[in-house]
Amino acid sequence: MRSSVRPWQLATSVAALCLPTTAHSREYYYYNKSGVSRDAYVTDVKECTELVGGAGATVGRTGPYYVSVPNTQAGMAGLAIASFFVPLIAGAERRAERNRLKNGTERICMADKGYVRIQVEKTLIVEIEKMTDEQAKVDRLFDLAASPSPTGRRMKE
Amino acid sequence: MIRCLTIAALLASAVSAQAAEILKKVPPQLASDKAYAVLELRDVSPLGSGDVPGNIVLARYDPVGLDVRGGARSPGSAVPAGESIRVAVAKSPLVKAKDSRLYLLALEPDTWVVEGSAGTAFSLGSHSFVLEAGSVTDLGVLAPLPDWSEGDSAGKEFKRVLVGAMFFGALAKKGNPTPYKAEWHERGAGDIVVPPELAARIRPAQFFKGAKFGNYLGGLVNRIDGRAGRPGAPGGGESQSGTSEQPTDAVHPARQDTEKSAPAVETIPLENSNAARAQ
Repeated sequence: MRSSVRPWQLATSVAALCLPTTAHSREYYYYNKSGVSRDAYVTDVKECTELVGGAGATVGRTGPYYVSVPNTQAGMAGLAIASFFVPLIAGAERRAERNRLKNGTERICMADKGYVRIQVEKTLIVEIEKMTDEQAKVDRLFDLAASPSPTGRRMKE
Repeated sequence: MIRCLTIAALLASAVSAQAAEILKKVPPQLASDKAYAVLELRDVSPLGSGDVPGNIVLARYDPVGLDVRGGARSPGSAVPAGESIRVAVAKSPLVKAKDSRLYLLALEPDTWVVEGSAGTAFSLGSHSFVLEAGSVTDLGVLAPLPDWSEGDSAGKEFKRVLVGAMFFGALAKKGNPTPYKAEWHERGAGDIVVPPELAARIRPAQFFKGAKFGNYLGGLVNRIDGRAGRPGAPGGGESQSGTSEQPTDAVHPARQDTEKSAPAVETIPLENSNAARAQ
């Protein structure tokens, strides 16, 4: 029985589990569990996507960055520059940490459900991403996920 | 990892203590509308050296909706205003030992779940337990530990952090974050002795395995028993076992009507869970 989930919804969730992330910008991979049924796959992806959504929620709640500078002209100039760059750097750091936690949560959750990560060439993922037919895209991703003989290198969890 | 511990410590300080309290002394009179729980937490050595107090978050649980009360899967089970949804056990112990601390908790009578530790939510499978009003329940001894993935260890992580800090400072590449797990055992010889004024009334907890819920701690997820508890894991998996007092196939009382054929929450009886895995 097919799931009631619309193809574009599934494609979005599944694509989120296949795309490279900031923390792994040179790694392209998908999850594979030989012989998994389509319904089980959809359920697993949905559950993990839900848990990934909670990861990183508390990053950055430790308070603002305080910069202590002496009250001099140079100090004020430094503060003006710092007030521009520090939030940018802090923001980038928070985003990186959030991505790290989300990526980690995704990997742990999918591994818990019996999936392994298979590294593939960038061209394969790009090719799938370029598919305009959402149903065809889901079918292609599911074929990869359920393949009994996945092509590519098995990655560490 | 240190960030996870910081988050957990912040969480501990942020949690309301109005309804869920950590008591530093045994009160002369136990309130009849509260449920008391005794929990021993082992210290944690995140990088293999320098122990820090272990921490655990307990949350009120909806065993029918399968989520923390008021969570996304169970919005109708939210607790009344003014009551705590969770308690972070990290400070104010009743008794301190060399590498362990004993806590006395005054909680709302309800079904509770071990929600997580050090920022890791045990959303993939944890243990729930029922606390009755006026009761004193022994939750045993929990040891929060990093759940290293294949090929990783505290020593390797320490070296990686040290080398990264020496050569790259703040720009050092961070490794994959490591989730936490919590090993449980029944209180026994070598553990902190429960104060005599509680010992007469205390009863061991009955735990129910397989409690799943959303990720509300903002960090990673895991099973309470870590990778070894995954279905099909060598020597692990979803083993079912029971204590000498409890049946092995019991389900959480609240689910007995809804889960007759395939119970999602099964009894655990943690006392023998390790023994069961060894079988």
